Amino acid sequence: MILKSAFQITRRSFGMILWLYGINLVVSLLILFPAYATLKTEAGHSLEFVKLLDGFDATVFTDFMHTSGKAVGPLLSVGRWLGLLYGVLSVFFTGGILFQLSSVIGTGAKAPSFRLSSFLQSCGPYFWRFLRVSALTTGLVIGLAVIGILIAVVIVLAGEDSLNEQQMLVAIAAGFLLVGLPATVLLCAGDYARVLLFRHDGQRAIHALKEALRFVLRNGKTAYGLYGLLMGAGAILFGLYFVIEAPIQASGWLLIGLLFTLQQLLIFARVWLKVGILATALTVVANREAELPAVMGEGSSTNPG
Amino acid sequence: MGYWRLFRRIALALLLVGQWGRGAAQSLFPQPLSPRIAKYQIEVRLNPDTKRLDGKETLVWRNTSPDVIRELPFHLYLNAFKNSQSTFMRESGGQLRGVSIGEANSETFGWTDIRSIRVRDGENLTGKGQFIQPDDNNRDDRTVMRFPLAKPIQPGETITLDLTFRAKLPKIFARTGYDRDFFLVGQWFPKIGVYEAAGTRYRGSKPTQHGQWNCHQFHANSEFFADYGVYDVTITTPNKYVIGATGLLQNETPNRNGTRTGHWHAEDVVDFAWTASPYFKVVDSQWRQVKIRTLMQPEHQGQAGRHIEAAKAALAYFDKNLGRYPFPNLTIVDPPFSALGAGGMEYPTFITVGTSWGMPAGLRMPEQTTIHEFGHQYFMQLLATNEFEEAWMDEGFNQYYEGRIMDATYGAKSSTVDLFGFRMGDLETSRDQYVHLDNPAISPAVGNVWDLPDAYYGTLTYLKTATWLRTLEGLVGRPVMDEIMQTYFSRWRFKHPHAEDFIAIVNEVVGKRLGNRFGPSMQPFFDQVLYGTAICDYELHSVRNAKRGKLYETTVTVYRRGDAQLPIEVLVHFEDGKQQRLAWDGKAPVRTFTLTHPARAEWARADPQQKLYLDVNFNNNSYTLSPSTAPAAKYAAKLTFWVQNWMQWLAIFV
Repeated sequence: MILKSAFQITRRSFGMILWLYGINLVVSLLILFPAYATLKTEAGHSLEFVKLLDGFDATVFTDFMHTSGKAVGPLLSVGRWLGLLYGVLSVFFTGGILFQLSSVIGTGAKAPSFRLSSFLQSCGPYFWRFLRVSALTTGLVIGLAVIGILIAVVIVLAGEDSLNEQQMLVAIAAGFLLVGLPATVLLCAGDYARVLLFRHDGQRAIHALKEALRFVLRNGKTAYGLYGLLMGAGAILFGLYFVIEAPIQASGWLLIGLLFTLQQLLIFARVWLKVGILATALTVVANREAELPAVMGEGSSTNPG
Repeated sequence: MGYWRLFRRIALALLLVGQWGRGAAQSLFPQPLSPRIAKYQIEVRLNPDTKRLDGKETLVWRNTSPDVIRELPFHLYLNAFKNSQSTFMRESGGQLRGVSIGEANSETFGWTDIRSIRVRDGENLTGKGQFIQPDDNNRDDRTVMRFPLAKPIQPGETITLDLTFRAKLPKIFARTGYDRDFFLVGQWFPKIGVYEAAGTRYRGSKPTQHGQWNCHQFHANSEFFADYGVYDVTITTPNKYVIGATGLLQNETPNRNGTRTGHWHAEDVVDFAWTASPYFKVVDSQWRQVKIRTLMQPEHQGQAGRHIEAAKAALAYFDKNLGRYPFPNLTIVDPPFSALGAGGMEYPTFITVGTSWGMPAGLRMPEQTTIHEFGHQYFMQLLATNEFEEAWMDEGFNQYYEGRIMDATYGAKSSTVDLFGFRMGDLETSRDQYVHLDNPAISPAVGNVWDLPDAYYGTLTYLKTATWLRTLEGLVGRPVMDEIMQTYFSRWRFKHPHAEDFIAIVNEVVGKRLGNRFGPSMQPFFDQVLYGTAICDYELHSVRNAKRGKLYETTVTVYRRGDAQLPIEVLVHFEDGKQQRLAWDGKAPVRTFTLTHPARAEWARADPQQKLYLDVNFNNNSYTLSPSTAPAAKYAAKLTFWVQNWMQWLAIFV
């Protein structure tokens, strides 16, 4: 029921999702065109690169990286920075996403169409508080990762003389699971914290995260379960992409276009899923409002939904 | 006679038969395959708690030279791990092949100590040994011990020595030692050096009046060199241990004290190694007359099939393309992950591999290691080149064959890795790792291994050699290359060949099959690739067309960018579909071909079949007037896709 409602409001926000995907695509063009130009220039008049159309060729690739690696390096660096830029943009857009989703709840077929101006207007006020939530969850997840690594080191040192390789790997995997699971709970709680801050116009990021965590743990099956389901759906989509992509050799422009389309469909689906996760959180919170103490901020208004 | 006395007499008779059976091993070959210069009879007992070996050794050594022998040097390889001052430890810094000895303490170190040594019916040599350091004068190195003889050994005479020794195995980091209950026992007994008579293996020099001993210290990057012989080794371990060893098990006797003793016999081999572990899972198979036994770690048992199939592929390939494997068995040892320092090593009829739990099928490390280590049976064991002085003749030749077998069995472009769309072949990996060095001209691969630039030993001996052998194959063709190798193998097996022996075979076969195609001799090739540091790089620089009436005049320009000068072909393709193949000796810095044809040239390729595998850059070997932009588009799109994914992953955090 909750998932169905969440899906409905996500679907009704198709225009916004399309726009968000567009942002992702436009940002990625900062890589696409320079990469195309660089690779074309470095390939020059050589026939060897045509072999890459039929699949990966280690000799062509390694010869290329040896002579032209310095030209390709900056592209990878740009890619890394674009990731960070997009991360910041995602924080910025979250306010607008929640605003759009909230405005669609309960409107049925008469859902208001996506208006960019309203969307962007709603992004600004929430940016800093959402950025604080993101910084908190990221810091905590990194902390858990460090603990996970320490646990792995302890396991290796303690089991050096008594565990065989398989037992060691299983123990290390269990150790990572021990910290990995809480990390995903934290990420889930981060989304709920943003929803709480949005709905109650709150300013206190730490407080919101604490309440969100309590809420997620109290409603584990619903809140974390649906979150896990959607994350799992994302993983399955990824796997599906590899299965579909494998037989496509992209040996000509038509197939390259097909591959590109497939890739963009996956990205679009991931954007959809990201919005869907927020929609689900919004729906769960709306349904279980009574459980939550008010997360009071400087204003006392409560956003609809 | 009472039944009890009858029973005792029968039991005694059986015991005596058993003892006699232990002493007289079944001969493996009707005629010796090799000059059996050294015969070892060794009794050894392993104490798994103290990691020590107690041994008794009888060595019968024959002087096959025309010289009078006045001293006997022995390798005591385990003394390389005696302390941090040995030549091995100084050169390696306590680590080998990425594995470290860890904390330096008495538990991790190892040694061999000759407690007594006596000439049978003759001189007591105990206490008369001197440690010598023929390579680097490092007085702290104890890996070679020399015993002067009061009574020299005349040409043709044999000497029998009875030794007792004790050894402490090191914690495994460099091939041999222990790790928990796992033991890989290599280079563990006092081993006599090789006496080389005048004219043997002295490259480029006139035969001297006398020969000399070849008995080097143990270096970080060296392996071993020994005479052929017969080994009879009885190994006593606690009952719980599963044993594997060089040669064949003749019999096994349980002892009263919870141990048992196995008698192993090997003929025409240059070494004897063995392993013990209570956890081995034994998986047997067979290829023709060769019994294959794998001793797997329990967690790797599921991968036994991969090792066996790889061994069979190697056996079949070598049998067809190089020569027969004469031994009746092969043992494959899988060390535990924590003892991988013992993995990837070869001993006669006994190899160690190495894998990890969950190794995916597309990552062919088990296969690659099995094929490589089996290949050493030909180069280390049957040809037995000197691994101290000419490591490339073993490692490089073997690497070349590893590449051929892997690529033939699993695909030339995917034999080592075929995972998630990323593929890599074996020979192309060898080439990549050599030609893409920051400085491929760093050094030739010839010379004593300890004189090679340290960080480049592996690349030069294994990979550069494999790559120039592949280049030689490219130049002369596979059938002639096979004839060269088969001739080399059949003529020199069991005879310790050296570089000039191989080059002579190349000249002989190439001259016979290809005449003067490469000149009177292939020496210029070897001068560049083996003894020199020439870099090969040809570039197809340009293709131009100019209309001349009804015809087109095409100029094709090829640059020689490297200093290697090798014969090269150029293929020109015209718009009407016709092609023209041109030949060039590859010597001048630039060569321009001018052709006249009814159609324009579309593209040209230098070395179209990539025969010159040493070429450091194949991507500049071709030139087309209409380059396709599709590859750039495909990979730019892929890169963009992954950046988009990276952006979405980061968005999960926010």
